[in-house]
Amino acid sequence: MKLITLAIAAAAFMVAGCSQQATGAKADQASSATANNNYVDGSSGWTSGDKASWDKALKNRAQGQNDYVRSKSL
Amino acid sequence: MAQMKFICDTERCIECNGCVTACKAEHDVPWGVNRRRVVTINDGEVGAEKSISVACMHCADAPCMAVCPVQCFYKTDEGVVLHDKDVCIGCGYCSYACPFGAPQFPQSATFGMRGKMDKCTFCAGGPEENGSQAEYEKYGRNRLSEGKLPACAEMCSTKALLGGDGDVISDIFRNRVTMRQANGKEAGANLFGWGTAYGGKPAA
Repeated sequence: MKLITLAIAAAAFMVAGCSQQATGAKADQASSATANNNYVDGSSGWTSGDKASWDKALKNRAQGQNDYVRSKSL
Repeated sequence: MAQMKFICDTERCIECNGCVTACKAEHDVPWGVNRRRVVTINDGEVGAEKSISVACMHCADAPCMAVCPVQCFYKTDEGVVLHDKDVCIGCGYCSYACPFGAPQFPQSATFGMRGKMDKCTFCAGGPEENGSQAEYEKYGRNRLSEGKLPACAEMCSTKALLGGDGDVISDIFRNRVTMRQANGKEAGANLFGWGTAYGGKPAA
C-alpha cells in the first residue's frame, strides 16, 4: 500500500511540469498611443491613438533620411 | 499599414559606430550588452572593405519567437518583434536561433551569471505603459510613441542606416541606387549579402 502511494506521488510529481501552461507576453499599448513623458514630438501633428495620423507623421519623418529631398529643400 | 524595417547601405557605412553609441546612450544599455554593432569585412583592403550595422532585423517569421519556450515574444501591428522581460526565463534559446546575434544577455542580473534577454526594440519599448519609467528601465525609450524613428537611424551621419516604414526606406534606397548607377558609380543594390561580402554567388 505504501509502495503504491509512493508510486502515485512520484507519478503526480513527474507530470506536474507537463501541465504547466506557457504564460506568454502581456498585452502592449499601440505605438500610436502617445508616450507618457515630455519627449513627444509635438510638431508632427498626430493625435494619440489615431493610427492613420501616426503612420503619416512617421512617414514624413522618415523622409528626413532622404538626402535628395533634404538637399532640394535647402 | 506601416511595416517597420532597417536597411543598411554598405556603400555609405563608414564604420563610425555612431549608431551603436546612439543606441547605448538612448536606452542606457548596460555594459556588456550591445543591441547594435557594426560588422566590417575585408578590413583594410582598399576597395573591398565593407561595413554594415546589425541589430535585430525584426524578422517577418522570427525564429526567436518560434523557439521561445515561454512565449515571451510578440509582434506589434507595425511588425516590430518585442519581448516581455517579466516572462523571459533567460534560457538563451533565442540567441541560438537568431542568425544575427541580436539577443543579448547581461552578465549579472536576475539569474546570477546570465540575466534576462535584451535586444533592439526598434525604439518601441515593451509591454508597459508607453513612455513610462517602468518601460524605460526595462526596455529603454519608446521613441515610436513619441512620434520619432529609431535613434540609431536618425543619428547616422551618412544616412547609411535607414529605419522606418519598409515602403518609404526602400524607396529612398532605390533612388540612391538609381542615382549612383546614373553617375557611373558602384550601384550597391544588393545590400549586404554573399555578393557584397565575397563578390559572387555562393557555390552550389
